[in-house]
Amino acid sequence: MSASTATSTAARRAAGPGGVSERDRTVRPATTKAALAVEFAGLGRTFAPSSGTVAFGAARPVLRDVSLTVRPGEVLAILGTSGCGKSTLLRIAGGLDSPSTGSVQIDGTPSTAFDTRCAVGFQEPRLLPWRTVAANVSLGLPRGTAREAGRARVAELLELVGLTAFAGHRPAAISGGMAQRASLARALARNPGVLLLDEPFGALDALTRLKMQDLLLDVHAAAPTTVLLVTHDVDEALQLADRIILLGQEPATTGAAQAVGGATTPGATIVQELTVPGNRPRDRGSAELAELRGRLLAGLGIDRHGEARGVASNTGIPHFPY
Amino acid sequence: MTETLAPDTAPVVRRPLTSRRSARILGGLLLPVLILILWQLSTALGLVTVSQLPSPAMVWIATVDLFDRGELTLYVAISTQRVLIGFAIGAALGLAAGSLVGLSRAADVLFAPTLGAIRAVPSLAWVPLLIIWLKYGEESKIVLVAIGAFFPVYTTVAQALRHVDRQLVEAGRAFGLRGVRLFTAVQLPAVIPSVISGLRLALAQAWLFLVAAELLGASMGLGYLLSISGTNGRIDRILLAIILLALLGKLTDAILGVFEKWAITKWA
Repeated sequence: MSASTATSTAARRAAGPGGVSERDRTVRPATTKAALAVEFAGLGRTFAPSSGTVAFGAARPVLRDVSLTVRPGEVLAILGTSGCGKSTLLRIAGGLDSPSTGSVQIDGTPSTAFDTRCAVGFQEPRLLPWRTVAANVSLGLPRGTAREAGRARVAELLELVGLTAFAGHRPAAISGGMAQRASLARALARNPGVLLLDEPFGALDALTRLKMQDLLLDVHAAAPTTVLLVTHDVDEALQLADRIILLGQEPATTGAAQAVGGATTPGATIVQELTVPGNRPRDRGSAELAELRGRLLAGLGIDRHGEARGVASNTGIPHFPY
Repeated sequence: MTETLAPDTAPVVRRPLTSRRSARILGGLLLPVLILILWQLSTALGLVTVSQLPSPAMVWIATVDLFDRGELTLYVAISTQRVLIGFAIGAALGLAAGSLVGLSRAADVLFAPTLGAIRAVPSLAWVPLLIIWLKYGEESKIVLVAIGAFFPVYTTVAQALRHVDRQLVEAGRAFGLRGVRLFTAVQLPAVIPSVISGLRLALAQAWLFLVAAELLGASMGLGYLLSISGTNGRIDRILLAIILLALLGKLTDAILGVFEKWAITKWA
């Protein structure tokens, strides 16, 4: 991590949870211009049966009735079990997929295919192996960026993610964490109003993931765009998000008590929504978050006691010395 | 961060003997020299009659003789010219057709079966038709060589484009690349190593088809030399033609090999 990032993180660590009275985005009204609102209205997605897979021969509903408004500059975490449609929701928001029913609006206008107002950070770095790190980041620059301005912007972003020394390296020559940071820089190069992150830290080791989470907080503090973060990591969601939605099927497992009656249709929808108290960066060991963590894990169908630890580690949730 | 690799420190590693350039060249020459010695010995000791297998010295004399008449240079030049022109045409068409079929599902459905069937036709089957249509001129040989060079390039390019990492293509699209820009930024670089191995296959195939063309209807070239020497029973010239084909084939392949190495360090 670069020196500047490290110090800013340390500074916020020193301030501690609750040390800052207002959220970053309310403190910086000038930079929030870029952040855009996202609105899902009655969104549903059904996949056509594919001949190649051993499907039931019928259409497979993945998402249904997802209605949600994400405020500009908000960090929204989308939690859910594997295969519940969280990535699909994100892909629809970015125009990588289109909804079967309902609509997505970004800043009040419908989302278009590969919407230029969004930038995607994939679970894998997806860097072009024949380009240098800097050239990969420049792929994200909006079209028509002047050469000099683009170069300056890439240098600035590489500095932000601490990769300046590796600008000339090929993706194969850097570690997975660095590749993921390069991928994040590429997404930021697009100057997105909405940053869509699809389990961006899922493939990283636990320690690198924690550092990446801090980096994301720094990035968001520097340029507070709207962030939709898909994750299966409850702690990551609690650490990063303003608000968490839990996707799942209704009637849900016994833990999700907020199930709406009469819903037996397959396909995931929002079964829980909660606002995370306190300001970022949050104390990873706080008791309040531990309580929320238990509720979310229960919503994901995981017993809080006994086997909770074992199952949690299978889904990639890091352990902390609580 | 944890991953602070020192970027510019390349430790000096002793390369094994087999990867040194000089060792590779010397090692590669070992077997040909051994064959030459055995050949010389078997003729010198009378193990085979000279009329069945002329000695290396006799082949050398035949080489000098042909060179003095000016035929050797002419034959090598005309054969190389046919291969290069035919290869260039065939490879260019193969690249275009392979790109079309590899990128477009519609083109795949429409053209792939027909091209697959044409590919299955043995090279010699084209010769009578080409001679009737294009006579004994240069065109008939070049067209046959081009047919030979077309298919390896077409097949490898179409296959490689179909198997470009979908995630990379999607990432390219997600960052606003479309059409030609997507092709040049993502798809083409991704298939360049396969394209070059296709080109090497095509070059070998081009020499193969050249000899087929020249054996059956030519008045000059290495294939013609083979054909006429077979009729005259000049085994020394047959051996000379075979050795020349081996050397020329290896030389042109080595040139592409250098190009391949460069391309792989650049693109892969």
